[in-house]
Amino acid sequence: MGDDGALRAEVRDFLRTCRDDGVFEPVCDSWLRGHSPRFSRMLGERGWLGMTWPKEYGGHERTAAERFVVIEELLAAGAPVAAHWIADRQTGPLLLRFGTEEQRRTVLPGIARGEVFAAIGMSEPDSGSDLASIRTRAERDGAGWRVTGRKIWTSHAHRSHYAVTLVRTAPRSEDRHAGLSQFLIDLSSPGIEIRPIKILTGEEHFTEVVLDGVYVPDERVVGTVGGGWAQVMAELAYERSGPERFLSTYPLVAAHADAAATLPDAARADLGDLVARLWALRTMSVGVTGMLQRGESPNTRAALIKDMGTALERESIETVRRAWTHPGAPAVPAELGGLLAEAQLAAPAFTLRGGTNEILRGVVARSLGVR
Amino acid sequence: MSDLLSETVNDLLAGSPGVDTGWDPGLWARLADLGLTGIGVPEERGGAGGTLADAAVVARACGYHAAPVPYADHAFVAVRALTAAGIPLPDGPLTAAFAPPGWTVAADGTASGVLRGVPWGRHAAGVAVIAAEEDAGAIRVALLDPALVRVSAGVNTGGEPRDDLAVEGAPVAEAVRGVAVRGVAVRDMRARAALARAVAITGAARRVLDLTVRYAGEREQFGRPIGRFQAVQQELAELAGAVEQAEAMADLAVALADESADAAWAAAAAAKVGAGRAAGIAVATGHQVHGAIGFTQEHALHTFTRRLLAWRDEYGAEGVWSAELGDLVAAGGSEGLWRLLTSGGVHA
Repeated sequence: MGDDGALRAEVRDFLRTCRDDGVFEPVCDSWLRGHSPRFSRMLGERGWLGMTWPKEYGGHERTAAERFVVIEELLAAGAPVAAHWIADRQTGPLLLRFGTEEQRRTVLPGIARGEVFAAIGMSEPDSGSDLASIRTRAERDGAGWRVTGRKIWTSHAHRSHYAVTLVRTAPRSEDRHAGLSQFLIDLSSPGIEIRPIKILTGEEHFTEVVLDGVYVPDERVVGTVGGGWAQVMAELAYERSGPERFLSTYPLVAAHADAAATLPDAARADLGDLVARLWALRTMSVGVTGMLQRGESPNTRAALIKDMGTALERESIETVRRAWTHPGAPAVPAELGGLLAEAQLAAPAFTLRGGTNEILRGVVARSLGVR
Repeated sequence: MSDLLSETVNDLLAGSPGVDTGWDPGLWARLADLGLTGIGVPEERGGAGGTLADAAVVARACGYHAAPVPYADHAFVAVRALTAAGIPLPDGPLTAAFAPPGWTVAADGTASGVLRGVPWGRHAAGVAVIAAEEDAGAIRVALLDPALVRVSAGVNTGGEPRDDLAVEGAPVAEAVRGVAVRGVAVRDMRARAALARAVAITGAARRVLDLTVRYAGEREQFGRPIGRFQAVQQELAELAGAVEQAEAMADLAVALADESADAAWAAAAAAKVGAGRAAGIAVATGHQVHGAIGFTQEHALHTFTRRLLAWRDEYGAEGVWSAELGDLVAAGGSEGLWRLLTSGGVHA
């Protein structure tokens, strides 16, 4: 049944060689914590970025299923994919769907080579779950716009080239979703100040981006002026639907599985329960990949999977922790202990980023017809 | 194909009255007329051909409508065991039983032992008795005629027939001696039976979700439908997620049922764990949102929740399958685990 064998084997060989050569050590949450431009370029050379995009934009015209194989192998191995992750996952697809020909030709080939990185400009200091309340505004200035405001929790903006930024291009009206637009902002533009923010682990992957009258030419508007809300919802489907929403802690689960033979029966049963849920979520995630491939917008299913997947990621840490802190449990193997410690500090973000689980369940409830 | 089948079966079942009578021979006859009871039986042997996926569509619909027929036991377990053994299938509903400890078949072909809790035992045209062979990779399948044994009628929590069949060395049909089937282990058949329940659970749990969403939209308190309250919405969303998760895993297990024995077994185990979990959430949330009316037999909810409570325990509760799956994962380590998780491939 697995017709993906050859590609999967190729990726696994590559990852094994990288580990043997010391290119990376597996970490949990590597799609945000493992920032390595060098590794991203290595993937680009192998044709594993922009995999599904047309060749004329530097893509490789592979199927969504083939891309799924590559990214799930990378995530399971805890490989450092953070540098290109957002550009490959959502910025590229967004530009393919809504961008201009010039934008695609300018940006996509670099992303596919693993040389151009992008950040997400959605949240603001006063706008988290209530995204439509953003205050960053753009005003007309000749053949372009002047953008003023603040974006925050922007992962890796200080290491990225672009940020697709949601801005208000018309004053708020009764339709609070109207008057929003997406700009592809060059982060080296004058008037931009980026302040890194330390997260729980002490790493600096969050940033605050202050925009002070930043000039954005008309050709950097993505899609239609005023059509930003619908576009950002489409972008969120890419953001929410992938296997990183249940595989962030997989390196920990894998290390746990390797050591589980020494554990008491109850701990192995907990592992069995965890595996059953992980397997079901992967199956659902594969299904959503099919929907994206067919051009459908699986917003509700993506919300559902992200809600359950991120909750499972959090619980998986507790499952592993319980197994090794039980009276009579053997000593925790060193590598496993390290993964467990870092996973606990990464965990609070799982159920917040990309839409809190409370918001996601609201999306699901709306699809059920009760909202 | 499966959409059309699903529509046909759901139309038939929705139009069938009397959902809580335990056994509806008329409904069985209508399913047989449509060829649905012959799914999984090779066409050259008078069956309808078809795949386990087709049978799963029917079994899920039976769960959704609480159909009082042993469809899942018949199609997933009995037909599979008897067909593999080359034993001709009697007309009518078939059921299955796993030989208990102490089950013996004497040289003259008579059997002794008590088969406990056989689904629809008293109504079945035949019971496929599945016993372990000395060779662990094989089973011995016997066909028992329940008319020739002593039946103690019983029911499960859902009110479905679960009968004890006492076989006391009585002279019984020749076929009871059994036929050995190589390449199928008792564990494979146990997993197949668990999958039958998992699929049925996904149908009934989906029905509880539908009933609960409808009720939350109709029932008003504080001047608005209770579904307008976020606290209720969050519960409904969690239930919807659990149901979808259970459906996805059951579908994968059905698709893998004819693949390598290990993958098929593990997927069925995972499906039963997921379905059992969804059943628990469906019962708790369904009743919580329905309030007092749902706690009565005046409302249809109990038809489904009581079955869910029974089915999640039959052929192994979540704890049983989690433990076995956990042992498999611990033995195979991370390499084996990843092979398992990706064994469905990526068919997008």
